[in-house]
Amino acid sequence: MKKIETEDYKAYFDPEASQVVLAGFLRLSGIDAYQPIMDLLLAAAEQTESCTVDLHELEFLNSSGISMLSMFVVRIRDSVTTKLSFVGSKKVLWQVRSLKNLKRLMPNLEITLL
Amino acid sequence: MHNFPNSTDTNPELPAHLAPLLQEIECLRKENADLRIALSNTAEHGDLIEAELYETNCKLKAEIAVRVRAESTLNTLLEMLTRQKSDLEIIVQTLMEHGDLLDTQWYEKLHEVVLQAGIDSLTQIPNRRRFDDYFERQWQQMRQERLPLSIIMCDIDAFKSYNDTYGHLAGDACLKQIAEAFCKCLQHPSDLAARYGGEEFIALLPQTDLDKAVIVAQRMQQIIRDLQIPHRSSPVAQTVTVSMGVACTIPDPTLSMSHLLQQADVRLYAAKRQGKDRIVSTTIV
Repeated sequence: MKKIETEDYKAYFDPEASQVVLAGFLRLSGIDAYQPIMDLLLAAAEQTESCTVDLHELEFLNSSGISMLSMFVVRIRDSVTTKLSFVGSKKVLWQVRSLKNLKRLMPNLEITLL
Repeated sequence: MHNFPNSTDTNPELPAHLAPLLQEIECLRKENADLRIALSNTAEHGDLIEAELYETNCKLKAEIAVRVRAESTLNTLLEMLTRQKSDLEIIVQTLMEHGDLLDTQWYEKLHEVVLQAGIDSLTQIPNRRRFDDYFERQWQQMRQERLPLSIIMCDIDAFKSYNDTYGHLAGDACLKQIAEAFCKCLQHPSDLAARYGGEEFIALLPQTDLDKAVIVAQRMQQIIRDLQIPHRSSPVAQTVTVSMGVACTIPDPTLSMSHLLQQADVRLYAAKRQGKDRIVSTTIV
């Protein structure tokens, strides 16, 4: 299991659950700093037909982070083969709105708000 | 070549007629030869033109095929660019909205933290820090408006022995009940009640003179009595009681804020000295 963990956040792929978990406070500076997380997401999507990204414990994601997530959604949409779904939380304000916007990029993106 | 009978024998004028005919035949032969050449030239020219047209046609067909391919490529490119443009528009909008949401999220957190910083964690009413800030603001405002500002200082009687008798958990519960009752008695939105420390509470009543402040204090005293919180070790009553000091002033530049606080404090301790469970609103010199 590949895992990136700092004091502020953790990101890991659980192949058994076909799930990538992002949790904590993601405030990396610039799109380049997000590359390791983008790589983790893309690698996970390659390994599974149906990939779930669990964000419900990701309390904060800055603008570079949402850009990275948007680009990830576009990549998966264009690849056609992978089914993608996001799990968020109704309690986290940014997830309620921004995840819906990502659905505009990929209409068959599945979003579940816990 | 036709063989004509020698008609000169029969017609002496015939040679004279024959000569122009022979000439005409010769002319016709030449014309025929010229026409044959012309026909051959025309046919050859036609072939050339046809070959040229064929070649041009082939070139045009090839060009059309190239252009059709180019158009198809351009259409694909246009489609791709249109999609990318649409993606980018969505991403920009997502980013803008996300930024605004983050602003809101941080602001709410900040607001919560600021609020928490001003709230007493046990009683959930404003703490001393919040009271001090508010007192300063109201002091300036009442000074400008030349309006009275009152303070009620309240202390639970024999609270140490309450804790000793019933334990600290019961003591905390008692503090919560008193705090709630204390706050209930405030009537104006600008009034503020706070936990001042330990078992001490304080209320700030802007635009309220001493008489009205005393009425509020009496209401507080009564509502706390009505709670009927048992206090068997109290030297005053069988239930929890409070002592209060009330002070009022119209702030002016010659007075300090601490003067008003001190006055209320002095009166509170006068109430304690006089036997507790009472309100003192005058200073006996």
